[in-house]
Amino acid sequence: MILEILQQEFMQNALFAGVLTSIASGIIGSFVVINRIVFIAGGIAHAAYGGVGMGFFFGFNPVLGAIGFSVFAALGMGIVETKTKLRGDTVIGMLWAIGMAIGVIFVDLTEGYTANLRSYLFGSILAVSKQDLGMMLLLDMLIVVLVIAFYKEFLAISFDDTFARLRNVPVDSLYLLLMVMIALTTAMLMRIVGVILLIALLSMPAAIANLYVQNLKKMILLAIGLCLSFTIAGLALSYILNLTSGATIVLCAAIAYLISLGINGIHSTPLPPKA
Amino acid sequence: MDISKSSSVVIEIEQLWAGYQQHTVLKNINLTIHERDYLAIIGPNGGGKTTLFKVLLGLLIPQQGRVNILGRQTRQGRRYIGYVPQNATFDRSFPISVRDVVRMGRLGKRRLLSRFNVYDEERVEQALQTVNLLDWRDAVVSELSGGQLQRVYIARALATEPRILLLDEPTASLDRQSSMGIYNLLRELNDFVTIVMVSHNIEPISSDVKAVGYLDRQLSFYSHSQELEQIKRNSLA
Repeated sequence: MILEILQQEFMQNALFAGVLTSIASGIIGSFVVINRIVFIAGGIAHAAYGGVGMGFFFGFNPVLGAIGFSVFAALGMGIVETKTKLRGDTVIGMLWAIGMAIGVIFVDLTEGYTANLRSYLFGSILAVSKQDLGMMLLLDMLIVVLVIAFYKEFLAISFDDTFARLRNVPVDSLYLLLMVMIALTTAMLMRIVGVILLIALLSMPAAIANLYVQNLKKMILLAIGLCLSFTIAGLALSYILNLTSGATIVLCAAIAYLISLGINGIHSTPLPPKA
Repeated sequence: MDISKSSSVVIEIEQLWAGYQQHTVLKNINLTIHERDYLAIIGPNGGGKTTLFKVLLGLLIPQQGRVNILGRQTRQGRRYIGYVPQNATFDRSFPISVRDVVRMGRLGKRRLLSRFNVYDEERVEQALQTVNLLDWRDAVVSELSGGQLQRVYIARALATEPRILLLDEPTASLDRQSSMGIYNLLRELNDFVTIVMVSHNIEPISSDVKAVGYLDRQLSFYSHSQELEQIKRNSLA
């Protein structure tokens, strides 16, 4: 029976999509977690919905719209964080909501059938097309090449950006590059679990990995593996039980996270003492 | 110009005013630091110690005045400074090894896109040897004690091959034994680097330091032992 399922093209596409997004999500999710910018990533993800709505209204591929919107939001948040004295979290929250609101309005204005809109909100891994896979592969290659090229700098700015700045590392530019890569990863994950749920699949595998390994490269590899495992497990469960795949995938990750916390103990990562 | 190496100026601050927006913290600071000096800066909270460090590191542009490091502006001159931050704000679960932290000291020596080379690794090992943590090079920072972590930061600063070490309260939150270890290390390092340190307590280093500055928006400078005694009494009182 399993072989029969795997022979269906939509299922093959779904598995390929799982592999490709897990690579980006494991890498970028690890940087999001160690930089403590999960909230920023959440804002970028939701802002992407504005691009989805515009895609529906103007009739272009909503994924392209999502990429455009999320990159724009990411750069906006990155510039606010690095260059201005505005309260970063306020601006992030605003961009988060503005992006969603624009998406909702454009969908309202779109005449005709918009039922598969739900797949952008909550994901639809079974609807991934060959064209989507091509785009995912391209984005994956871009992210992998950039992270390998600037690995020592990304590690440094994540650990101690002040010290990196003193060594004349272009900290702000690299931070913006990281923001853009978060946006690209967001656009990929949107197809799997949707804009509303994707922050969970971005952050939880990396957070779990960090409980078990204390080396960033190992953390990334483990996060990729975990992300793929949750995707496959969630996909299988949703297929058998006839549930929404995105939500099932996210709940698989959440259960694994809770179990890991239980095993490792919440006390295993103590906060530093206040000076 | 015939200045012998032992007395050459490494940091020169002239009529420096600095602060944030309309709020001036540092007022008319003048300070000349020579090669292999050991300067401790004490003073009350809010007296401008952190602001002075930010100016020296080129992180804050002065409102007025001139700051030179080895005859260069701070943005260029700071590459000769090995900076040791306070270790209070540190994410203990950050996945990084001792060696990788010290490697950060080599960042300025390698361009973007180029990897660390054998020479870099040698400097990293030597820096770890100097702070007596070579056996800990593959340990994760979360396994270290506060004193060891401080020594890792000093090793990272040494890996930059600095002419000047700038330390921000290096013994804050350390117990007495760890603190003495840090001070002994700094005394040895002073044989070849200039040391500038912000400190809340100069008593343990009063025999090591060559000068003490008291910074409370303005800088008073002491270099004679009698004055040092006076300052010590004041700072303890």
